Amino acid sequence: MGKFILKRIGQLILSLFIASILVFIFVRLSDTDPVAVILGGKQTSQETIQAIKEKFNLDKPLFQQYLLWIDGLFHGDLGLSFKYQTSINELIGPRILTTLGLVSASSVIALVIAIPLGIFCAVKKHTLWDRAGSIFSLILAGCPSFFVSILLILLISAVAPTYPFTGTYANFAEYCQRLFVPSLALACTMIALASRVMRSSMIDQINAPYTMTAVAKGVPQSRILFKHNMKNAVIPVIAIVSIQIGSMVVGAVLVENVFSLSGLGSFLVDSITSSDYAVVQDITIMLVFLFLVISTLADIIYAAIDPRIRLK
Amino acid sequence: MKKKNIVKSLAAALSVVVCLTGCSGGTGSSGSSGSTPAGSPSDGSSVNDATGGVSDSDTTLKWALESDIVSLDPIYAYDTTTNLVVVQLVESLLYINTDGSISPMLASDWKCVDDKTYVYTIRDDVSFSDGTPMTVEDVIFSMERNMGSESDSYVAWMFDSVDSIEKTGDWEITVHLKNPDAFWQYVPATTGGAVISKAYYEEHKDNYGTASGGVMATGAYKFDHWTNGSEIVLTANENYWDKSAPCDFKTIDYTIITEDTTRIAALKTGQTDLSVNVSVDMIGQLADATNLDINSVHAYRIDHLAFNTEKAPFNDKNVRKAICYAIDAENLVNSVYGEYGVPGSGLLFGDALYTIGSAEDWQKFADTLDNYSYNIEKAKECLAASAYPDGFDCRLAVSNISYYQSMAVYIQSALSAIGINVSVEQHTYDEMITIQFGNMLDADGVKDYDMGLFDWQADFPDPAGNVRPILISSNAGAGGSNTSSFRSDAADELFAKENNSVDEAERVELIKEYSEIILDEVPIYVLAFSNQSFAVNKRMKVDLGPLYFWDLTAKDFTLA
Repeated sequence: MGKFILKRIGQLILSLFIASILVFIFVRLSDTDPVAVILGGKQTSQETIQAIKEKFNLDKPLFQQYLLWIDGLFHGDLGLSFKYQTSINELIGPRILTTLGLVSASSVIALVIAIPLGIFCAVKKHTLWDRAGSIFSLILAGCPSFFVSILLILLISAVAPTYPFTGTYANFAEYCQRLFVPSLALACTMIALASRVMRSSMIDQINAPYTMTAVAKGVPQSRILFKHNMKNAVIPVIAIVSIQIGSMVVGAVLVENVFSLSGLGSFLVDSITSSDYAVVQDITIMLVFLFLVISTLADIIYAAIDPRIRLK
Repeated sequence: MKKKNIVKSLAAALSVVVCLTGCSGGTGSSGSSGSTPAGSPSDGSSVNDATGGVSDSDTTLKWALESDIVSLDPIYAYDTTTNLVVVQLVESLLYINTDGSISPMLASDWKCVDDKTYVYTIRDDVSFSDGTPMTVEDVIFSMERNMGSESDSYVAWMFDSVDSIEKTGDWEITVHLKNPDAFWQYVPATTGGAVISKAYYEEHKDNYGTASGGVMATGAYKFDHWTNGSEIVLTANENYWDKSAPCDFKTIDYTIITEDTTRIAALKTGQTDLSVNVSVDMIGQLADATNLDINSVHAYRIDHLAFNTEKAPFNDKNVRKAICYAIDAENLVNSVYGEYGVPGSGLLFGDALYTIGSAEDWQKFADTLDNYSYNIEKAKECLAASAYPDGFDCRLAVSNISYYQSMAVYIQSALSAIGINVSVEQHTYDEMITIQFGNMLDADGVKDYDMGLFDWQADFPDPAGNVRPILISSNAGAGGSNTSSFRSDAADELFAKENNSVDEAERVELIKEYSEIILDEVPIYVLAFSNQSFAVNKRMKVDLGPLYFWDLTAKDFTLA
């Protein structure tokens, strides 16, 4: 197991290294001059341009710029934003809190709803209940989070007009209050997907020969279902959810926009449109990192649940 | 489970959360105070139940912005979002009243000695929000930031005729003009006459006006914090000089809500008090709200299509004409604006700006003009006469505000009828400001757009304020508001003549003369004279003039 974990961590570092080079190069393929972004295009003198180049290390060769960036990342220094000319750490800090909160809350919401729903549909396979579950998932899958967000806002303003859905938060209670509804909106697609995967993999397990053996041996059905079937069936769900978390960060952009939450997603999109490449490369590499860490963790969890995976 | 049940259970889940978090909301946070600023110091918002049951949320003006602002620095405050934040912090020498007359502000008195000399008496009892006194040096320094070809200021054009500004007494400055200037009387009442602390500027040169640098000036409010893309918080300035000015609000909390539906819901539920740029397609959705007053002001605004005349094929007059003829502006405006706008007349200003000369006379003149009434045959003729008879591909820059999107889509389909393929490029509002002021350049240093949908409104009650700033050749470069990069010697000559004249009748004739040249050259095509609408919660009262989108301050509101 230890060897397996080491191997996966090695792969993670290699992938991250390659990704960092790609991100760095692709960001610089744009024909927008960073100096123009920093100036906001305003009229300027040659000395100012030179001073800006020095301040943002743009006068150095690309290779050195890359090393400086990586060195900064290792020291937790994300550099300066072109557009705002302030430390990216300061800009990103509160936004990470929002997006991570949003993504993790909606993952939890999704799993809490999807797993029981999947089991329920699998057990009640081909009944009216199962059909209803399918339709429910289908509706959720068909509703983009953006649309659900707007529906939720309309619903809140009709049902609970005092519930705050704009503005920032001052304490943890407000943080939870602000994030709950957006998380719900973001969770929808995931609920649909995860519950369908849970259902089919649960059916596979229920039909597996070992289940028949257990039934023949007289093991109680609830014990078979939750102790054996669920444990096996949940593996592909973890896989799906972990892969989805990356795309949820991207999906969060729209939800953040509707709920006027200042998060990483909206910041990334703003930075791309305003050509603030210092921010783009930082957020992108952070997303890659997050994505790799989650999939590595998922692999390790797999391996812990199912020893056969370690051998492959 | 049926869909109805889902809605019910969602509603149930919501109410549970409302109750839970409502109970544990912490001090001073009632159910509706979700907009309490994160990490804001408590000094400015310390009014609480002890002072007669007024809670924080009552004395907080919750202002919804549809986009982030450009800067806090007054020299970049030249759009109707940025200005309404900046004018709370920064004051000018003079002030334009709702009826168009001018009042004193930081200058206690002023006089026009002759056509080229203006003398201003500066108040000696004003201090900046940090308590340091405002001096004549601060005034001169602030105004000079707008002067010279190196100036970054968006209102640098207003200072084109200024020769020098000098201190001529302990509390007196004299402005010498190179030539008489019909606009100058108003300039000290715009952000061009805004005064900032020189010492503070020198200390924060690198990040002045940004979220980290802030500004220091004399306004009734001082800068607290700005979370880019999210919110801006200002608190009452305890060192404010004008003790007589009523001020019901201790805090102004601007929340940036880009999504229309959310902004409407926030207004309707009272989570925000005010939205000053209510777009035409939102008004209908707000009409049924019992907690809101909706106002629509007949403003100076022109919504127009600008052609980048520096670039082919838009340097070809026939191409521009072909496009104008192909657009059914009347139909477009009626369907998009309804009662909140009228189609362009061929002039660059609507009847709200018939402020010099006689309104009747202007109307008569406007009636003689043809603002390229829809005529597809003429459109085809013009295109055939151009260097591009078979059409071409081009780009249209447009803000992501929804009714602008509708217009862009309409223009796209109208122009496809004459073989012009338009790709619509969406930008955020603050990016459109950058584009409008010529600060989005391509690799060759040419403005990086083919056509754009913009709006403009004069800074003062003068029709030329809707023409010269956007068409004078000295504004055609980077940082200037001549969005079409229009350069015409004939027009420039008339602009100068009109500007140097202080005789109203003569000015009227000159304006008519250049209006005809412009209509023929058509660097910009006015689609609509539109109203400026806003929604405000009934818990407060406000009186507005046609210039409110430049200078509306929290002092103008009183709690009902």
